[in-house]
Amino acid sequence: MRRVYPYLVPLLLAVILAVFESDVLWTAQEQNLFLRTPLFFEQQMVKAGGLLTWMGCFLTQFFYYPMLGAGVLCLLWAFLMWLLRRTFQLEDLWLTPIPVASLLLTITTLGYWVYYLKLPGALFDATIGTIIAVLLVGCYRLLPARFYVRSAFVVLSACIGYPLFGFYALWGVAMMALMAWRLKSTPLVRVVDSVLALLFIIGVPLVCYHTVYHQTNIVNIYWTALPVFSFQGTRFFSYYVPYIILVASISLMMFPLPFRGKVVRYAVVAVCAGFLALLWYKDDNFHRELSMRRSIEQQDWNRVLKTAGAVKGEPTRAMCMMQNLALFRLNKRGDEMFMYPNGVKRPNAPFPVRTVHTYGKMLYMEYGVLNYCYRWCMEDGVEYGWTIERLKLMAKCSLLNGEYVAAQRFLNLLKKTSFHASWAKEYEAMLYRPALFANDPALGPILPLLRSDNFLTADQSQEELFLIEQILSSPGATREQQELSQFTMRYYRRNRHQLAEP
Amino acid sequence: MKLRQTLFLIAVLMMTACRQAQVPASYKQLPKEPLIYPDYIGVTVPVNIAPLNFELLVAADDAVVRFSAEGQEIVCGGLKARPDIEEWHALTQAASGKRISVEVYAEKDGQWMRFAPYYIYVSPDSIDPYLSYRMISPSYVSYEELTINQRCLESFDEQIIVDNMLCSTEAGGQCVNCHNYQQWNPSRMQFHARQTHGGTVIAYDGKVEKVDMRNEALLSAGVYPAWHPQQKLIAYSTNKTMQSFHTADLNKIEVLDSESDLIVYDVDRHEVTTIEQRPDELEIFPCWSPDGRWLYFCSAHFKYQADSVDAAEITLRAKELKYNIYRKAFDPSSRQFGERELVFAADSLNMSATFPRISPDGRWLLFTMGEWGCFHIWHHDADLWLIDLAEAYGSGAKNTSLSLSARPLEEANSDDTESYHSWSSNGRWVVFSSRRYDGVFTRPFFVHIDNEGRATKPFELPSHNPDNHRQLLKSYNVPELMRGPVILTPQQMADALKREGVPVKLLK
Repeated sequence: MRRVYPYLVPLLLAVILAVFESDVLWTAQEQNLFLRTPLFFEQQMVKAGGLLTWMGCFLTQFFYYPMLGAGVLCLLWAFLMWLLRRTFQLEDLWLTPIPVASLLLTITTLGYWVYYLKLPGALFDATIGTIIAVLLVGCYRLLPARFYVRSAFVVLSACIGYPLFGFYALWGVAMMALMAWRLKSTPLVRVVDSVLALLFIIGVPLVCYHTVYHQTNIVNIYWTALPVFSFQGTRFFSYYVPYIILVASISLMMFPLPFRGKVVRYAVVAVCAGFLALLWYKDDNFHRELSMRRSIEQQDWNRVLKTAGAVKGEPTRAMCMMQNLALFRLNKRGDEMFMYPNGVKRPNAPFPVRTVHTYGKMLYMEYGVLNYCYRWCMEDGVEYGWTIERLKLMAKCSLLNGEYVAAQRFLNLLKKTSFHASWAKEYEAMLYRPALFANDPALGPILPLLRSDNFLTADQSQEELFLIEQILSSPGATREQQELSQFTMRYYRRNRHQLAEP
Repeated sequence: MKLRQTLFLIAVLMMTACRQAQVPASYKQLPKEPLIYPDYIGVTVPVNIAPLNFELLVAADDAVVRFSAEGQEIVCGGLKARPDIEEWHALTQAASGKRISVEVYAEKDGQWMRFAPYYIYVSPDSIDPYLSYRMISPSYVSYEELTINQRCLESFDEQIIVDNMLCSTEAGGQCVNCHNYQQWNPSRMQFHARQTHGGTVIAYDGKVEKVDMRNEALLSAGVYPAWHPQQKLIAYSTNKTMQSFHTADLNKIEVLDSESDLIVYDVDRHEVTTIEQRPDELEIFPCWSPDGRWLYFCSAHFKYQADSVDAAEITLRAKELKYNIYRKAFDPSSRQFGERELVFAADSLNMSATFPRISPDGRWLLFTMGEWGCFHIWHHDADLWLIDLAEAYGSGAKNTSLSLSARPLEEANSDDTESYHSWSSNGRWVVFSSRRYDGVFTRPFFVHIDNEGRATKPFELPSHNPDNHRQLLKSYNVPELMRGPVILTPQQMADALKREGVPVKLLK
């Protein structure tokens, strides 16, 4: 029975993840896309590590139900623990929670990167990649030492593994080079395996660069399938700490521990708890923003206000904007607008977080500025990849604009997803039937805000100021437009000094 | 035993993969033609085109399609008709100058139906075997994955010529654009890169060179290119380009030049000469006549009310930008240009003309026309127009007011955008960009134009998976036909881009 106890660790971590980071997980699947089409598969396979990111995208979609996605993670982590023990012949399973905690940290340290990471399926990639790397070492270990079978496996792992799993296959091959010295073998075989591993780790990505792939700069060929925590040329190395712990902790498992028994268990628990407590991203505003965004998606405007009202410190502009939207939707435009916290706290990220990249697209949509919603969906889709959120918003924009063939295209793609197909079918029923928009809880309130007067302009990534300018530029024709204009004017007069984003 | 099992499995797999379709013996005849994507009903295709794979869009459980001509036939099963390439080419050869009959049978709930047959007309005029284009998301400002690709039109083979990701890092990337060839020759090409590793890469008969055309006396490096048909000269526009975004208009985006001029670049001498630099004119889109003696271009008259160039003013007055088509004589021996002369006054029709392209026989001038502006791919009203230059400049020319003889190419135009276009080397085909399906994503279409300027129903670039163009969230930009493939690899192009550009000398 005691052997089972360590497996409770991934279960516990998955439960913590699902409970405390439910909104992060849900957002991750909204910022992800997995299509059941050959084209989507082909598009992933144009880079080394393509199969890994394809699998990562596939599994990320399960975060639609955060508990389900966390459950899948839990199973994978448990399997990894079992695999580590088998591969490295560990006497004590209590060593294995350290990599699992590191894998958890690869998710919980992300913060605003959930909107900016360009690696598809990032939340699952590290877990799957690590399993693959360890699995390769496990296979290497199981192979017979005769006839250079292991040597051949080293070569095969690099040649086949790199295109499919990128960095993680190379890591697996590197571990084989170390493992060669731990297994029963002749010195010659050990040297051959190690040299082969080194040569192929260096050579395979180079050969692939020159002959197979054309989407990766040569400076990045050894790191494919790893996230790039870089923004406008600045790298943020602290985000790699969980990855460093992960690689180090697993690679060191090949070597015998100088101590064993309860000491190991206590040390592991202490180390894991320490890492988690220290590195977990716990910013209150960030979590409230995600929660408010999710509530808006569910049209739960009271919950938006409840989340905004309970903020612990100074809120961000994004929170204030979502809160104002909720006030407008709930017809609480009078005195109540002054009862909620106001502020300009910058998002807690080491790089500039722009509203247009996070919640701005949704806000443009909700205020009826469809072209700007569409524009930022397209811009971000190009730069950060296509996501469920962007496709949904573009489908809605196209519907409301009467661009039905374009809407059909986006809906067709969404119909190829697992958890959003029903949403797509619901809106597909509205194609060419604009009379149905008014009854839709999401589209209906936007209709009276749509304006026909056109300006050729630009928002310069200053969404709130642009929205205010747009709303105030003319009181509008509908009652809702006039009410929004009055509401905006009152708010602007009170807060004009603090609205510009840095 | 194991061997037997393996053989059996292979046999089963082969049988399921190559299901022999049979035309149903009994069926209900329908009066209408089938709904298919792409719309290949009644199109005219070159004899050497790849199979016109299509997908049946009607609700059906199964389908059978029979292509037949001159006693030959191909029968395909399934909702996606994908004829074998070799059989297809044999069929088009047999049908050259005639037509292929296409019968579509669909089965729904056990009942077979036969749609009214339609025809594909096979022109004996072949098309250049390769098409190059930029694959780009119809984005506004951002870019990430940009490639210049080439596609064999006789098959479905597609290769990358340039991929900007090979030079991109997290610190910076570049936009690659404006690929252009001298006389459809794939070994004489050029393209630009902007921002990181910016410059113009010119490949000429195996020599690849990067050029840095920036100069303080020029508005910008070269932008829209036009190779001289015989000499190692490239005419460019230089542009101060900006973008603005409509708040409600469905055109969504406007790309404007606040200033633009024309230059010509001598590839051997690395010398740039200014051709047009008028303060109140916005010159753009150079294009040589096939004999190399005329340089056609577009120009819009625009006088700023402000004392100097004012981006805000031109944005506000953007709808006043009406581009006409002009030309300048060019003496190939002295390399001197003459004065500009008006070819087509689009502004007299309250319209704006862009992308003049002259057929290889020099007779037809094809261009894009929209209500205003120069970036018509974002204008839903943009259409192709055609002018018979022989009427104005041929022997016995009787009409100098070319506005009267210009006509919209109705046979090829749609209700949505038609824009960039280029002629095939034999002058019988034109490839053009169109957003006719959804108004968002550009797809290349091909149209046959005969000696008298008559066009046929255009057809969309065939895809191996006919649904690909409906799934792909990228546009085909700047389609250019080529006599063969570019043989330089993307890595060689990337190496060229990473080098320092050769500075050019500006001649006064």
